[in-house]
Amino acid sequence: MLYVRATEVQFFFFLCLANSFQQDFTFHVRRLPSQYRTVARPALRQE
Amino acid sequence: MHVITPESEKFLQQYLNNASPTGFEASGQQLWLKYLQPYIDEWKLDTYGTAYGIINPGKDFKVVIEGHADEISWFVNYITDDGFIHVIRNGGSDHMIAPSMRVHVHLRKGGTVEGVFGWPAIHTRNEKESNNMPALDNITIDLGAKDREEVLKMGVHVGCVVTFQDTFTVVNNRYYCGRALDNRIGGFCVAEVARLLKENKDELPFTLYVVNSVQEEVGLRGAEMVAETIKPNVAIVTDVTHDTHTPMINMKKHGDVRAGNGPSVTYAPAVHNKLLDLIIETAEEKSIPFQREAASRYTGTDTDAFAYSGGGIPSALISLPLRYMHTTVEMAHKDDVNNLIRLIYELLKKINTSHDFRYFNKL
Repeated sequence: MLYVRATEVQFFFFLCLANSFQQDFTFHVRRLPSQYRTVARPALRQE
Repeated sequence: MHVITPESEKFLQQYLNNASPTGFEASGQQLWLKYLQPYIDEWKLDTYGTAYGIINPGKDFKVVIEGHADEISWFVNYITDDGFIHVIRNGGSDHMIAPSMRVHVHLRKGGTVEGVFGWPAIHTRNEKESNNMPALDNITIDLGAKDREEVLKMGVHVGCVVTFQDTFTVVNNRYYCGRALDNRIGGFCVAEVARLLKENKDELPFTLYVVNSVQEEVGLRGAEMVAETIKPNVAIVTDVTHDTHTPMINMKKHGDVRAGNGPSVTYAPAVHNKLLDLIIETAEEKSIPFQREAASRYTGTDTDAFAYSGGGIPSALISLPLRYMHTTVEMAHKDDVNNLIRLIYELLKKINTSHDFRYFNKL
């Protein structure tokens, strides 16, 4: 039967959490420029 | 009803006395396959050492019964100038039990060197130091060498694997006792199931894989690999669980399981409810005693590896109650071992290939 130390379990969840934060961060960074392009540029063309 | 024969018990003794440390299971796998061979149609070995026998090959529906082949051990990590060896764990080895134990250091070229985990005498520890507990950073192996050079001349180097020397015994003609019953006794049980199927000339409607996985003790690695290779429809995993009726175990925290009261079935998200129902139905029909326990995020067994592979494989865990897990005196009740073998054997006869494991199929 596998033995996992409490610190390893905590580390595992920390990794999961960190991964989740990283995904959120990446999501925002990638979306912001595209939002800028799709929303702001047509507005400029109308002017 | 006892199904274990004197011959199979002799194999168990030989199998348990052979060292099979995680990552170095080959000699144990050879012993296991030699015992299993008369009862299977063919056998295979994957690149990391997981061995499996195949019964009734070629069917679309595939069922796995599985135990794991590896035992916890130590790695030589650092050799002092004085010739003492510091170790790291290979699996969940317990530093608390190491002092005064005799060990084998396994050499890469084959063979072993004998040594001991030393510990300062009670006379030489002052009151403050007497509170010192064994820890990973203060246990050392003594090979009787005068310095580091002599240790190296013996063929011992960083990376050699170390196992305790303790061997198999039977206590009170009731308990199998020894080092690393966890979980070579599981491999023994699935091999016994194969023997019963052969001896009773049972015809199965599916292909049965009798699997002995490697590297469970470091994260279910062998099972992860072989689950992807076999891609079974059903996996029945057997491992050990804690007998919680020995001193100093909190039953409120660790559940209520007692050696001698039968194998234990686990309720857990990884365990498929329909398969679990089938196991309980089988036990009740055949009057096989069983116990219940619960696990949450993980069962800590190869069940997790099978369940969460290949898009989800219906998996279940049938455990053998064990006293003093990860020590050199692990104890399993003979009746439980017999009943575990019977339960898996009878369960296999109830599984049919049209079984729909989806929880529902219409709204």
